[in-house]
Amino acid sequence: MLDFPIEPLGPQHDRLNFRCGNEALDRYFHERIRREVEARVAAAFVMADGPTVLGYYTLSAHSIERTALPEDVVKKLKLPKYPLIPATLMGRLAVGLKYQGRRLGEILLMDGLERSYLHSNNVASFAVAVDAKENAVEFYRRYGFLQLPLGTRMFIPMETVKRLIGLPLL
Amino acid sequence: MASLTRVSVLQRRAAKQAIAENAVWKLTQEQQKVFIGALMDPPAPNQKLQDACKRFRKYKASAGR
Repeated sequence: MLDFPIEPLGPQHDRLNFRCGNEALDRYFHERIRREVEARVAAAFVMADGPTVLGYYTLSAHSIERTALPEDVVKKLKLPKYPLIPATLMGRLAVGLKYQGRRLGEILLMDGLERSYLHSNNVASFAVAVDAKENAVEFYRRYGFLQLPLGTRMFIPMETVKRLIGLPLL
Repeated sequence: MASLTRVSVLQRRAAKQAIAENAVWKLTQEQQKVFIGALMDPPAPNQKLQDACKRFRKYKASAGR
């Protein structure tokens, strides 16, 4: 079992030699991630062995727009009237080529879910959403992420994560 | 001074790009049904997720966190 720590991305981490096999995820990690962290539009976490990055993921605050629903549906379901529903976006998740097939993606995902849940106790979030492209859909579906009929976004309700994690072991 | 300006330009560009990508997620009626179903009656964690959680706890214990 790989037991390297997961920590916030910092200047000590070697970004340029990270390769996961997906060009967009590599390029993002090489070129954009530091600036996004500095601009506070994403928080980035890496599993790292010293400067060597084994995998990474990002989290951002997010909103889901609930456009007007028929009044009877709103009444029947006792829906909140908020036009925007708060969510947490796990925008990217990637594992280095050399470390794939060792459940590292799962560890990163669980770390992200736990982190999202803990923070949702202070800043509410209804769900954790991911952008599931191509082969990632099956990965997320396995863990119970729900797929919307259109688009690439998948999500898991925070209540489901809460039932899983309950009181965190700190 | 020059480097300060450069950082802020890069930061602004990064922010713009992120905003474009993460723009408010709009749902169609069909998507809303799925979403509202989960909102009203969130599913219990499935077996795979529970197994993953157990492995994650072991990882955390061995990673000394």
